[in-house]
Amino acid sequence: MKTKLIVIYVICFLVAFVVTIQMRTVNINKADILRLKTENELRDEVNQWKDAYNNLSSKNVELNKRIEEYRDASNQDESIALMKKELDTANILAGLTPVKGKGVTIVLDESKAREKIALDAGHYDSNVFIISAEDIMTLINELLLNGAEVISVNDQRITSRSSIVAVDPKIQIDGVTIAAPYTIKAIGNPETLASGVYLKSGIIDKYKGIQLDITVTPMEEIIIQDYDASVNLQYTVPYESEVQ
Amino acid sequence: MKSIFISLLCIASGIVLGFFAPTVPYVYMKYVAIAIMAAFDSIIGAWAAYTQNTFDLNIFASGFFVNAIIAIIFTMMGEALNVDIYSVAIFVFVFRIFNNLSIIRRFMLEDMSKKKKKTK
Repeated sequence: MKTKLIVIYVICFLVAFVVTIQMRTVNINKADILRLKTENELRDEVNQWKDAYNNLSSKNVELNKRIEEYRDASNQDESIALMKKELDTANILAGLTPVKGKGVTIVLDESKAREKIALDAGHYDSNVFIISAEDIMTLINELLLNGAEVISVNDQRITSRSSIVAVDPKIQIDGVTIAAPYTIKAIGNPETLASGVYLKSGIIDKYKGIQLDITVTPMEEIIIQDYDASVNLQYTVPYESEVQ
Repeated sequence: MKSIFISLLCIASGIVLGFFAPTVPYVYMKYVAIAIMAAFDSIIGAWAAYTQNTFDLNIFASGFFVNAIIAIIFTMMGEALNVDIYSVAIFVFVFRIFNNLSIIRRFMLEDMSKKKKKTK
């Protein structure tokens, strides 16, 4: 009987003790608004902040986009200028625009030499020519080697696609027959070009022994006309390498 | 009378000590609450059993502790499995409490009517 009573006492004590603790805990947490008061309110608040954050971040994205646009716009002027410059360069290199600049004019006049040959031979042979297509090519190569930017031969613009062939006894450049005297115009540093053509094993060196009138005139302004034939690419398309 | 007095003393000392004991952390409030409900259920059940003359201290004491512990374990399990076992346990305990209270009420009414008859 005694132990039974003790068990009941213990149970009474425990229940009172635990209930008191629990009520105190609940009270404390009630005071602590964040904890118990309003899970839903907190959720609402979190959602409000989330909305505000989303609004601001989307606004941020928008503003960044606008900044990008402004930057693009300011870049566009520059890039257009740059592209124009590149286009101009490309056009010059392709020979599509007339150009002018400092350079040299080289005149190869073989008439005197031919006279001398005719005198030596006793008769005039209209098929005797001294300057060959190879000579013209050599001269052009020399000029290019010495920094010539644009070259023309008898007002035929030399481009990267130009052909210089000997159609005996004459010379054809891009299918146009040219005849002596040959006037070769090159735009570049006049001194470098002039000294370049006088180099050993050059064309002037080659014809030293013959009475060939070669005049090299540095000039302040040379005008070179554009390439007459239009460039039509039938088979070539740009190839963009996949490996950059 | 003496035993009732000691019981009241025990309850009072429990309340007093409860005021000085540290509070339960927020996360464990649920478990304490369910344990309290289990305890109340046991107590009311014991009372009802007493009215039926089927009260057994061993059953009461074991039910008091074991029910509380099992309720806590179930609640933890529900928490782990994201099932609201807590609510169901509360429901069951309250249901049983009301059940037992109705038994007690019936007994008391019968008792009162008996006493009335006696006085008559």
